[in-house]
Amino acid sequence: MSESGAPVTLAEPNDAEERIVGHSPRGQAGSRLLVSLSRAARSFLLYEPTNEAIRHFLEALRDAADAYFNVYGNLSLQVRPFELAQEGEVLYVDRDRERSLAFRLFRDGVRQLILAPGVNFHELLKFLEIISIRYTGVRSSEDDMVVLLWKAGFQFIEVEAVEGLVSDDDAETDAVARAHAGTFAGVPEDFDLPLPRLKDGGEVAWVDISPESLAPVVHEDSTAAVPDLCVRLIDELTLAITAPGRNIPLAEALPALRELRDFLLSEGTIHPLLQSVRLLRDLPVTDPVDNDARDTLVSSFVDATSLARLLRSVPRDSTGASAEVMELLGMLPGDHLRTLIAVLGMEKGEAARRAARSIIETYVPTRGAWMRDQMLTADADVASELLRAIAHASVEDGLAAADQVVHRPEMEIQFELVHLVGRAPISPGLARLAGVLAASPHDEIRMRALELIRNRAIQGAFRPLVEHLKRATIVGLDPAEAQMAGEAMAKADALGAMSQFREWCKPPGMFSVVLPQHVRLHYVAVSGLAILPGDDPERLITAVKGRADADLQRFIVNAMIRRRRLGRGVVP
Amino acid sequence: MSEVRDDLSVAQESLGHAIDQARAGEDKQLSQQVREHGEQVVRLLNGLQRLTRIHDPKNAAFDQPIRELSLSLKRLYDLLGAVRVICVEGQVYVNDIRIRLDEKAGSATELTEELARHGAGGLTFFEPLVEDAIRALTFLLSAPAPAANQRAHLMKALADNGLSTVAPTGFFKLKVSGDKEVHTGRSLQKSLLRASASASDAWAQIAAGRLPNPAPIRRVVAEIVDASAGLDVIADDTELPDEGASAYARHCRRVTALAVVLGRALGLHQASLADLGVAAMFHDAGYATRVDGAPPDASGHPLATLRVLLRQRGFHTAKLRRQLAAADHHRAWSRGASLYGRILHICDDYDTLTRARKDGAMASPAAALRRMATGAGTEYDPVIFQLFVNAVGRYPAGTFVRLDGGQVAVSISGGRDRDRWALPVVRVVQEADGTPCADPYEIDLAQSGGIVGEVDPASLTPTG
Repeated sequence: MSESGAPVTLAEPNDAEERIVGHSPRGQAGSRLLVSLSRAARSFLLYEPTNEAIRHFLEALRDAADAYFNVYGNLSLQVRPFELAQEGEVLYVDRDRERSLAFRLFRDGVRQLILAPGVNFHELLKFLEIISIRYTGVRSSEDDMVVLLWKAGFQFIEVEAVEGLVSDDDAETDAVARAHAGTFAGVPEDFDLPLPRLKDGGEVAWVDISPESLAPVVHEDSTAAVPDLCVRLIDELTLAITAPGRNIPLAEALPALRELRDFLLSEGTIHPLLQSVRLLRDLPVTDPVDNDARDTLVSSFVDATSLARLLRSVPRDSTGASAEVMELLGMLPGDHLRTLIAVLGMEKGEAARRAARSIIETYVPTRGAWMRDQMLTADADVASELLRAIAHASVEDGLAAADQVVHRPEMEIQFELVHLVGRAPISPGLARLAGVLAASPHDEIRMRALELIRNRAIQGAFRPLVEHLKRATIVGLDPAEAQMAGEAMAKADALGAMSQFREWCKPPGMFSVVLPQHVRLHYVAVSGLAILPGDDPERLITAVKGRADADLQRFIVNAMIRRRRLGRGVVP
Repeated sequence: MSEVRDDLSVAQESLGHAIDQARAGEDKQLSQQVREHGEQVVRLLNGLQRLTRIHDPKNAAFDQPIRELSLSLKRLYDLLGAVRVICVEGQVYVNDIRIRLDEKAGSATELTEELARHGAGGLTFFEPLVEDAIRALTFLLSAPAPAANQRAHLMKALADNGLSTVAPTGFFKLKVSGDKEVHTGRSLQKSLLRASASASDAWAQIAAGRLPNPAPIRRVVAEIVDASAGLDVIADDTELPDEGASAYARHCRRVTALAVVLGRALGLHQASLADLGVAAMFHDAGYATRVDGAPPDASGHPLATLRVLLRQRGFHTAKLRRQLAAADHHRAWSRGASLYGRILHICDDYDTLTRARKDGAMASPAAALRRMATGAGTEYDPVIFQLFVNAVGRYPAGTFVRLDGGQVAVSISGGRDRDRWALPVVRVVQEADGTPCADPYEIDLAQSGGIVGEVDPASLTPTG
């Protein structure tokens, strides 16, 4: 199920063959786990990692793992080309080479797999990650699946795997290989001289090295140190590119620089990115081709995905983007506003969206008109964020922007418009906006707009509101909304409201028919009259009460109680 | 597993991130080309064998596939150097890259069976083949095999037909992690010997302008890492018979062995030890390159090595560390260098001082260590250098010493531990009366005996 509770419809991979097998309850539970694992691993071929479908597959995997390990303990599997079996019972079978989990494992050299009951979801996810990488067809010249499994250092997953090819007759093969192997003897005997200048007379002794002294050294070998190593290599390369004499041409270093960039962007840590951009931006090149290549490289240090990742790293309670992100964007050429808008379209986290918005705000003075145009066609959530950013930068610009989207019916936009009505200074534009929102198709928006008209006494909204109520009451009007509408009319324009209520409360002529909308208007009128000062409102209410049905009478009684509480209807 | 029930979005993000990073590490160019040409080589070898059952050797039907096979082999050779086609468990590997062959082609099985008739599990092409050579190879493979010594027979037939650059290899099997070998000094020495051969081969490939290929180097380094656990790799390397490898290849091997020891002393994880070992094997690769016909000098070789390593595509942390080490392995510690660079700096200088040269080593191992100690804290990382000192001992393997009994011996162990650091295992080479030992014997000085001083090996009576 999705978060909203609605069933998720998934483009399941073709499941013709991959099905739950096993003849014992234990086997079937194991089978369920393996099928879930296979589907989750393949899901990355079909969906973006953040897709709701992936979540569904992960949930299914976790549930299947819980169901198995809580009851049955070890899952010990023999890996065959198209099957996974436990103690002779086949738990997984799929003969499709592209899809089969068994085939992937077998082909990558895994021969036995034991998942012990202590395996936690984190470890299972790491295992899934390795399989998923293989499903996506990635092949590294450094790591194969067996190396990845070895490096993962699993605690509760044991893998017996093929480690490599060994010849049955090493000696003979080696001899043949040696006879033909490339030999290289083109280096002079003293290739490694001169040595660094070292003095004589040093002394050596055994000295214990404390773990504290070793810790920083060992840290350098950890994955946490890799982004800094990337920066270091970029530094080395920029030095090498500009080294006098035998330097490395930029064109030769570019592929490596791009790889380093991609890694840093995928890591999404700002410091190394900033340092890298500084180094590359300051790279002195004279050749026009190199100049273009460097500028293109520098400007490619930000895209929507990487920027989203950077913004995602801001603290939850942050009010905007960090100074470093701003500095990074400031250093990079290109239209970051478009990128930021793309981020709004893909990023769901509130902190990251807030950070993106805060940067977008800085563009309002120069790109406000362009942003307003974008709001016409942008997705509702993006348009609403743009409106919010514009309005936060300048309320006047916000009202101008609101004009662009005031007739867009999406909830997100209307909510933002209402928010604007609540904080912008009262003006004809704001009143017009409030009037439109009072007629919104969304109940919550109408109620909030009416509340704002009432609380802020937005006079300019009075006339559009009356016109809306005349139309709305034909269809129907909730008593709560009628009350809010009446009070809004009374607060927005007391005189105009009195006159309007008087008209609506006029007794019907002898031959007139009392239509339902007339009755609904009575609800509005009574609510407004209840807060208007003087005797006239009360007389009118009493007159209406005399003609009212039981529901309206109860409504009028409550209105009168409110009126008494307000001190006989004096408008505060 | 309920502790992360509400954390699926974190899992999604982390999985997506891992896949992104793996994609960044892919060497698409290399693997795609090897796959494409490798697949073609296998298909064409099979196709040619089928044709021999239908047509006479002179038939024009052979021309096109022979031409294509020659071209594919040439392309693979340009990319990889020697092309190794290996059939194992129904799959075909070309230079360790598994070739995808669709089921209906049945290519893997066909080739496996064809080669098996000749007692072979694979073919190695040490050079590209011209079309006539491929025609000859095709008919040699399709010829009936004798009842015994099939592979030797095929090898002779190949040599007789001028095809000595094609070698049928023995059968291969996949080594499973459960099949643990008992590691002995002998297997470690074997791995070390293979390392200098692999280094030599790698430099030849680099000199020919090919991409640096870490796969074979990684395999031999993994062997050294595995085989050296619990053994004294430095001592083993010191004892290694010289099999005619160049000084350059031996230097790379010894620096690798020293780096593995030092990395282990640092507590590096097994995977990191392998990465460090590969970095050590490649640390001087720049010497294999030429600019205006000349190799780089000592000051230029780090940059030349970096330039070579830049040609390998795909991001990988091992490659990143390797490239950094290439660039900074001669940089003084005080000027800042990467971890692998600092390790290699120590190992590199130690081997430079101690390795055999025409006119003798520049210093004995013990003297080299003392000399290097003056650079600890400036030239060398003091923490790493101290670990090195602890690991190799007061009298590192290869140091000649006079024992308190008057005999001359050579150290054959490292530092072992605090108590035995200055009391190595030695091999007596000269008795107290000055006569050379006809049958050298070992003494563990931690058990009995002591050292009174070092001896210059040049002063010893030759043993004949």
